[in-house]
Amino acid sequence: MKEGNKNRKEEILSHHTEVNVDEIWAAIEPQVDLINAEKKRKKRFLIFFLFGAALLASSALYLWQYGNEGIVENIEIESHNGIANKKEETTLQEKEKQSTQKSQNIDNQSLENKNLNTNDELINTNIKDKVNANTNSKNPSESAINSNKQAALDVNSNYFIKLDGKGEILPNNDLIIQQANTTTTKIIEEKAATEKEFSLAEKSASTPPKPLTLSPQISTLHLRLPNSIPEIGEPDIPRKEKGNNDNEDESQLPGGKLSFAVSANTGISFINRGLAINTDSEAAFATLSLRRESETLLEAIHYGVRGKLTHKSGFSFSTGTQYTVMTERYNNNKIEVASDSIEGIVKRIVQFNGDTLDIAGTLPRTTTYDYEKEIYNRYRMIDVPFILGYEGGMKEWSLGIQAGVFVNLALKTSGQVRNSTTEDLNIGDNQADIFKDKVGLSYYGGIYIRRALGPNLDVTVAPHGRFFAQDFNVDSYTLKQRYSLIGIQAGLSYRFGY
Amino acid sequence: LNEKQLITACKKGIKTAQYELVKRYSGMLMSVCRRYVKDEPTAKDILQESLIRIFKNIDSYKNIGSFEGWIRKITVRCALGYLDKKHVRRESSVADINSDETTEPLALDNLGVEDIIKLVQDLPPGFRSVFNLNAIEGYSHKEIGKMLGITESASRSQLTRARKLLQKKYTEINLKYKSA
Repeated sequence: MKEGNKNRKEEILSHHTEVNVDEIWAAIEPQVDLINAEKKRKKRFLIFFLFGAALLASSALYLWQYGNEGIVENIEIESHNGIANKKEETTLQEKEKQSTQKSQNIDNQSLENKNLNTNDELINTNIKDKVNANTNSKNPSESAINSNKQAALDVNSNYFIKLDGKGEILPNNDLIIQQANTTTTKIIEEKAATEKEFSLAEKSASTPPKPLTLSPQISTLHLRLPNSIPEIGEPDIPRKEKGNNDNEDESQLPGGKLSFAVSANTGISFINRGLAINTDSEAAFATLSLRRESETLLEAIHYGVRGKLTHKSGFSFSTGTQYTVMTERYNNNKIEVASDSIEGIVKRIVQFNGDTLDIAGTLPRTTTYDYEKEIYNRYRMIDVPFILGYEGGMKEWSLGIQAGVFVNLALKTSGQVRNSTTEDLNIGDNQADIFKDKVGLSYYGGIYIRRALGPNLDVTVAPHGRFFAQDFNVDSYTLKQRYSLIGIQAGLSYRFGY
Repeated sequence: LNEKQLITACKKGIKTAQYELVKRYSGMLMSVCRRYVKDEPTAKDILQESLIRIFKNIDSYKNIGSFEGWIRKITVRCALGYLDKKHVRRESSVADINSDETTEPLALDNLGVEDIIKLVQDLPPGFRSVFNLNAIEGYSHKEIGKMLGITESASRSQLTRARKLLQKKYTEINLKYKSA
């Protein structure tokens, strides 16, 4: 018996009624198209979100992995340069020593032969890249300095000839290095050559000295000569230390280690809405279905101003205010049929003699109302963002990541939604019944690319995401809706400080 | 296309597959609609709404359980939603709480499915919903109570009344047959 009933049940369940499929398809096709378009939009949103997240993650990873390593690399390069310079200098030193020894030997012989007193040696230096050794002067009293673009060197003390066109003689502790290490190397090389040439000049007094060609970069020549024997050792050139220079740079910065910037931003975002049942009931399900069918998500636009404090290390903190408008479209296309009755002629009898007899009565009346309603629902919010960021980059381009929270100060809604009784509900007038007046915190994250337009003016482009932590609805409402936004922001900022 | 391929294609939003789904299942779903509402145009409207809901929510179908069962469930909910909108279901459900709950087995063996559907359509809307949900769809009274917003006992009593009415109508039809 039970088996029979079961079979009957199955028979009823699997029963097919003849339907005109094309007619049904034609009726639902426009809505199916809308559903497909919405799905594609959601898919694009997801792809955009995933791409943004991947970009964010990879940027963060890059900065974390290579952000510090970049500095290390520079240091290594510097130290490599140092080693290279040192090696170069060591080689040069050896060469110098060799040449000095040779020079000394030759000089000693020359000096002995010519009875020259090195204490009173005259060196005429031609500023036009020529060094002439005045080997003819044998009388110390006749020592002189040719003032016409020439410099003199007293070999008894450590002096420096400054070949800057003024022919100044500077004491050791007044040495100023104005060029980089590479220049120093050149100086040393040229010094060695000068010494050699000088010695050769000493050796053959009659032979005119070979001209010394100095690099155009050279502004100061350092020569250290001993008391008795002319000796050129390793120049005591203080290196340009990064830290010291940084300190010097920092002291020159108007804002020290921090810079402050104000920016004006605007952006557009995709809206992703989660709409679900708050209380499990048939009425809630019906409302959910109605609202899903009647509402279309559009876009969110925001405007804001922010102040940003950036540390020299790249970390930043920004806050300000932001105004956001999320827009949705509400459609209600419906046909309502109202029936009532009116008084009228219900029957007319035509008699054989041609007279007519009207019988009055109540007539049924049917009125069809065709509604086509399109309303834009808007959710306006004022928020205060608190955002931490980190940025790194080179020259005029910078890449940064930022994350933080938005504290919502106010939510104001306008528009209409459907409710369970198919009536439209004004969400502006009845906001307190459906929506909160504040939606608490929302989490923000994104990356940004900054490009300097001028010494203080920057333009930024920032793909970002914002996720609301709370539902927008009051607890008593049958549904709960929550939002997340994925978008892009552009802004102009003016920097004060470095 | 087999069922699984058809579902996958519909999830991707391929229109030919969606048309195929309509073609394949709209007959069965129309039968469901006709069991809940009496007039054909309303049943057609419910069917259309159900199909739209099916396409909208097809992503949430995870290939667990019968697809037919899933789409039937959606159609039933649509039909109940329609009845709820029209205040039909609730109005007719209020009157029958204190009814006699004795039930006799329902014997509709001689009738074809179309005849049964017509008999069910003739039931008052509240009885019709409870009878369909319990006797045909297999929902428990507890579930029916939740779905229709009535108590469990009200669901039971309405079913009893529905059965009695059906039996009465069936007897009438039988008598007509015999006399004919």
